[in-house]
Amino acid sequence: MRVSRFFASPGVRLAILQTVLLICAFWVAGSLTRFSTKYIYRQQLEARLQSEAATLASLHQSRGIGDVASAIESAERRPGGLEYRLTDAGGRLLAGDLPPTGAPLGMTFLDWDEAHVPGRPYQDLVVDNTRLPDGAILTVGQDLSDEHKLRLALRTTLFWCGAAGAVVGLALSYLLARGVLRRVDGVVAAARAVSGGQMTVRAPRRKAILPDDIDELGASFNAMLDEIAALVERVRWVSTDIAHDLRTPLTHVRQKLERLRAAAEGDEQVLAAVGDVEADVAEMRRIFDAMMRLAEIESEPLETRFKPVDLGELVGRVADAYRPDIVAGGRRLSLSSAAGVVDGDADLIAQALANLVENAERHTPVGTHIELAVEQHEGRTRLRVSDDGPGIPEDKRHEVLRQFYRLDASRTTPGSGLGLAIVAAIASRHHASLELLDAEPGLTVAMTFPPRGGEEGR
Amino acid sequence: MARRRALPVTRQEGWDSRRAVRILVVEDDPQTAAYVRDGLSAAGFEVDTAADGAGGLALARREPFDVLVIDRMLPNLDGLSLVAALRRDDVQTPVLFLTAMGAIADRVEGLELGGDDYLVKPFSMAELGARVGALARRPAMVGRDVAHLRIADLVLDRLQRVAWRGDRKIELLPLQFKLLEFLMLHEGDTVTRSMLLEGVWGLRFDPRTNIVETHISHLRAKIDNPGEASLIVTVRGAGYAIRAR
Repeated sequence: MRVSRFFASPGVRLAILQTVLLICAFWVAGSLTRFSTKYIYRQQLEARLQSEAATLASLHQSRGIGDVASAIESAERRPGGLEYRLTDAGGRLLAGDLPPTGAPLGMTFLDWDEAHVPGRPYQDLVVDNTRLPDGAILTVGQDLSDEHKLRLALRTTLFWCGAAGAVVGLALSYLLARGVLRRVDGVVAAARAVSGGQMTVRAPRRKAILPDDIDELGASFNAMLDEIAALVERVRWVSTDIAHDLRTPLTHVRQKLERLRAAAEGDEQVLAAVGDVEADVAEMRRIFDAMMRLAEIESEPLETRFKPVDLGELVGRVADAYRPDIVAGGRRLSLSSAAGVVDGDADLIAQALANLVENAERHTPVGTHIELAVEQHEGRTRLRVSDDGPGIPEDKRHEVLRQFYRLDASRTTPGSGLGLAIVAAIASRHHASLELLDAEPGLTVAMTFPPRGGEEGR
Repeated sequence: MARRRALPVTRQEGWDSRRAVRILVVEDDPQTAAYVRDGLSAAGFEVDTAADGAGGLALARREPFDVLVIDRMLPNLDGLSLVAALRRDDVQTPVLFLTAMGAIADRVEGLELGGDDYLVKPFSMAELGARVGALARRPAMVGRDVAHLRIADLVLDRLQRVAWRGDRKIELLPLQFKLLEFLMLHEGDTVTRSMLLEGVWGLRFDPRTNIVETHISHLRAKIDNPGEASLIVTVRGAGYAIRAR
């Protein structure tokens, strides 16, 4: 996964492409070098053979064939010298070690293998055949093994230089790409955290004298987030303000109902109607209160007021409070509680737990078993509410944490749609993770608290 | 030093005993102040009001009140400083703070710095009345730290943790005992659902379901005599009260 993501990164792809291009360029340059080296070498060789042949030809002219033969004898004894063969017009060998070549007059490259001359390492040979004025044939030749050695050395040098260049190039490109990748990763991680609900996370900033595209990307990403946060804040304030403003007329309605109730003393019909309206008003008040409570929980920094909270004891109290009502509703409540102390606000955690229990009670059929648990999960203390009811489809689990979201789109079941949003806000204030899981069957809501006293910096 | 008025000791009189209870409301918002004054007066309390912290402090030092209802945010002198000043003068009058929504921190601070209770605005008059009533009776309850609580022929044995209705022994679950004890300690007074949740379960939130009602009906089934009206009466729109018929 990590590897495939590595190769998926444009930076790494670019690095690999660069290296391939580097190798190609090196190969072309190497080939050209080899070709031109060979060409120059052959030119020099031909010139040398021709000049030697010309020297011997002039010796022949001035001193005769005998001197040429002895000059060849002495030349062949010198190490590193040329190869010779001198035959008279009749084809009789006069001097030189070179075997018969069968080559025509002029410059010829011969592709010999070792079998031709046992004991002498000819492979390739270049020979220059010259006909002397008396009909004798003078062959001057050069064995090409030196040239082979040179070419081999050149090839080896080029190969290792190329390999080293490729490795160094790849490493440099990789380091460069990794740096870029890391910075892009920072932006990606920030985007992920924000979409996961941590609205305060921003892409890391770098002190750069010359900001590059990624700095620009991070900066504009952060600016976008700031704008979104401001919008969210505005929306929140608008809804909170609406809730706040509507509560005053609602309070008036209730006061008027109280007066009406006093005036209608004895008239059962009117009293019943008043009771109905009072219940509706109370429900509206509860929704507004929940909205304001949510705004309150989300806006206030609480950490400095956190105290140790014994979750086991707290869960016990909530279970005690709810058990008779749950049982009266035809459901079962069980408790499995391990020791678990977390840092937090007991009232808020109790509120979250109560909301979860009420949800489990309200959205499950009669006969459902509701379980409250405090447990140690992967070294952390976890508060869990499970039921074996119908559960929540996986694709809806994230959405139910949103304000006013309700699975029942017709909104006929009671509830403000704020219960889980409040739970999520409380979890977030405690740096606890909130998960909605499949209880197979049913729903499990798990709130996992950070280790105590731990600086869970976010 | 504030002299505290002698409180009525005849608990059976219930609501009527409140006539003598004096409340000081320190609230800067005139509308809220009027609402609170009218509501508490209607509930039988004698109410004085002050519009700012300094005025409230002066009044609370001069006059003997039974309960102070103080807004947390006040001009001149905020509610917390007002109470701190009173406590320095050894005025131990019970204080109920009114706090604005959106201030979780306030309630904690308020209780830590000498407040006795708090209510988040906006509150229902019934809730405020019941809580003020409970605070007003609190000094009287000191003398009620006894082994047996008694209403009509219901006796709660706080050592054995059982109740007797005449000759009938009533076994109580631990929570039922706590609930009955809480009600009997507030005999004659209305206790609201949230007061019960706080007092009995130590939970401070507004439950949506009828959890308190269910506990009460279970308790009624145990302590009441068949065919008789319940000792625990439902106070419409407010809560419950236990009182002899």
